[in-house]
Amino acid sequence: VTLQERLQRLRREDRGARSPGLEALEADLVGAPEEGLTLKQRLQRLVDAAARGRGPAERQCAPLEDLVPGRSVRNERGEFFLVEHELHLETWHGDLPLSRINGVSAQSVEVLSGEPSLAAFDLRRAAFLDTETTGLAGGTGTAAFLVGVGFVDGDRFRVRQYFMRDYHEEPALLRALSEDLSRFPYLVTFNGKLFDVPLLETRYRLCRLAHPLAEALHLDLLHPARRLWKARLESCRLQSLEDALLGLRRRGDVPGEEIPRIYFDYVRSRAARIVPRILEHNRLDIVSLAALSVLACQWVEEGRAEDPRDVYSLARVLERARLFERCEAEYRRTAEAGEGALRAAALLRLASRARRAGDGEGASALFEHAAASGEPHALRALAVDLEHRRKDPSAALLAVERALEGLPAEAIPPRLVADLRRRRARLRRKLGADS
Amino acid sequence: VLVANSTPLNQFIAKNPAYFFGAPVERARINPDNLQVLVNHVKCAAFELPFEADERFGGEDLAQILEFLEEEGVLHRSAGRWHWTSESYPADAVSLRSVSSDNFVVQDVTREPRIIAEVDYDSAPSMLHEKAVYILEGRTYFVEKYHHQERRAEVREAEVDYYTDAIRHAKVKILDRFEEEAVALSRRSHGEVHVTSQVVGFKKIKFHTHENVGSGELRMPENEMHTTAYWLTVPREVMAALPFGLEERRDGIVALSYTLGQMAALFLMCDRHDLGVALGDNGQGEARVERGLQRTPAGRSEPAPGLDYEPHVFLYDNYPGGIGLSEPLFRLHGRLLSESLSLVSSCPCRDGCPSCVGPVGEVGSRGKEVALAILRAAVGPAA
Repeated sequence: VTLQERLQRLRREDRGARSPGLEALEADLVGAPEEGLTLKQRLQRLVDAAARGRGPAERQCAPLEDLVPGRSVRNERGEFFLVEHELHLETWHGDLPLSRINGVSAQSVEVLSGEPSLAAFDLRRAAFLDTETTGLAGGTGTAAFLVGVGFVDGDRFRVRQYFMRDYHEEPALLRALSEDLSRFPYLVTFNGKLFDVPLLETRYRLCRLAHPLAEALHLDLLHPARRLWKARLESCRLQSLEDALLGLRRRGDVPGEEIPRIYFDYVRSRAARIVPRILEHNRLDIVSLAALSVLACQWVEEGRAEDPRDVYSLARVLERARLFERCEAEYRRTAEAGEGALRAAALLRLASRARRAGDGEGASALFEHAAASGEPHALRALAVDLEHRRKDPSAALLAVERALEGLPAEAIPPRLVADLRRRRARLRRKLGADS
Repeated sequence: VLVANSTPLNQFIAKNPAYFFGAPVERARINPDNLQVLVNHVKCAAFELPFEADERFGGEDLAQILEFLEEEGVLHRSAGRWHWTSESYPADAVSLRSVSSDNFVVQDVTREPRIIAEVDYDSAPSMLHEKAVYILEGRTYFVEKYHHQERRAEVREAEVDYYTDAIRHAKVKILDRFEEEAVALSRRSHGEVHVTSQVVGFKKIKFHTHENVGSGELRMPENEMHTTAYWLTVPREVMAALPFGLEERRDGIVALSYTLGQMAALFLMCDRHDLGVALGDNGQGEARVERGLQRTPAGRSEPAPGLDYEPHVFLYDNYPGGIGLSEPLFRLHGRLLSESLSLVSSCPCRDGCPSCVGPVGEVGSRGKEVALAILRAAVGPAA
């Protein structure tokens, strides 16, 4: 028995043992069937899909060079495909004119990120980078087949996209990218610290090239975006932010999870029909990344937040950056406009600021104020203040009891319940011993 | 203190303590060139670093495997290197405990349904068939439902004093003989086989005494696999010369297969279920007879063998592709037969018992006698 035959058998066994046959084929080709279709109808769907797939051959097999205005670039490591695109800075991206990038103050990124190393970060001298990869798994077997770099160039916003038409073009791509990136002192990504940069680092190493991003001053916008907007927005994915904050809706965009499969199909068949849509997807991601970076800076500069949840989030960002006066103003704004837990949280932050400033009386008043809402966290904070600063254990006990009795135990986080119970027992002991 | 139970393995050790105390520690056995293992290895390796055109890996022709994986769509050749082109992380699909990554989950429905265990695909029909007793952490569960498509079985805790042993019908077809050799009056071989097996019933066996206390019929999905096997052939002339009836001759082979299966597991230091046992009844390579050994499993009496009966006893690797048990068995052939002979001949029972050739109910009243005669012939006068 030859190896060939044994391998074929392996394939048959694999199929036989694992795939439920028709269902797998359907899921692969036309999506899971609706309820109630007969077997005949299900098979017809497959036949129809096969017929659709046989479109005009020339369109199917059009080479990338005919579909995209790019060019082959050659260097000492080989050849790759480069696509360049530019926008005038006066262009609006959703609700934001890109030219606003010129008005961003140099300190904003430091405030946003809370990282002193990013002081004087200049978005106009930054590379906005995003990769499209052959998978999300990470690890050495995942490659970045497309790397897009956006940057301001005079009155233009340019995007250069480095694309490998096949795997052997990767070294040339990386080589050229590294030369290009060396011109920028700053780097902006979205989740790049965890994903794009380590992935590229591995690719550079596999191609025996020096990694150009090792020393980059890097703003990963994902984290500040979460801090600023997570309280209000359900999702902080780039496209959700783009939709919610820039009012931008993409039409006919390729869903990110389909991108690896589209690329594999292209690499095997050379039919580049859908590849331009991946390039467009990547380009939009980069322009949005730049626009959202500008917007985030504007929020911290101008205190743009209006929704009380956003105001509170902004206050936390400012407090983290040690801009105390501004953060207290935003906490007060939250306490005025917000209600319930949010209002109590803002008052607690104010109380804690007052205590740190040495204003014990003011802090106590704020704790009382926050606790009036009946919020268990606020009541706990009040109890601490009463017990330790004002030395009034019986009032503290009352606050703890109010917290435990005001709400059913399931409505309070379990750790807080445990803390409150411990505190109650200790206070009772203390009072018992005193009397 | 070791109290031996009534299985041949325990009885052998009780009678030959030197074997136990003189034996080296257990050897882990895996065949790295098992095609399933090798192909999965190649996938994982390709993920970590693309293969170069002239690289070597494993004992098979790597280029062919790489081409196969390209056809499968997980590798892609670009400028002489093979790149991983799948979104998945291949090592995720490799199980360290079994050859195939497909598995069944065991769901305890005694209270809120919850998953309590996983069972690999190939063992599922024999361990999770309906009415089976599933044992986990000393607790016994009764299998209520077996869902093949969903790869799931529902079990409920139950206090029972027996366990179940599936009866499997196995049909073995010889695909390739790697080595074959006459030894005394028998023949030893090893090679590649195709095994079609189906769980057709089960026995209820009492804990501790291993008494058979009942049985049931089943019709589980057929399972096909290619694997490697060692087999013993008793030549036609040897069988014909035995002073026994035709039915009795087959009983003797059934009895012999019971002993060989148990002893082989002992010598290989593997689990008894790592080896499948099947019988063949002609030289054509195709064989059918059940392992599980009810003499006439409900409604399935085999016709008596003919005068040209030339039985094979197959001991096959019970894992797709084989895990490398067969070649060592081929080498151990002489010892396997002579130790089996000494176990059966020294067993004080009259007509067979669970400690040697299996109980009388399964091997017939003269099974032991015939098995002994065959063993003597197979071992030859030297022993």
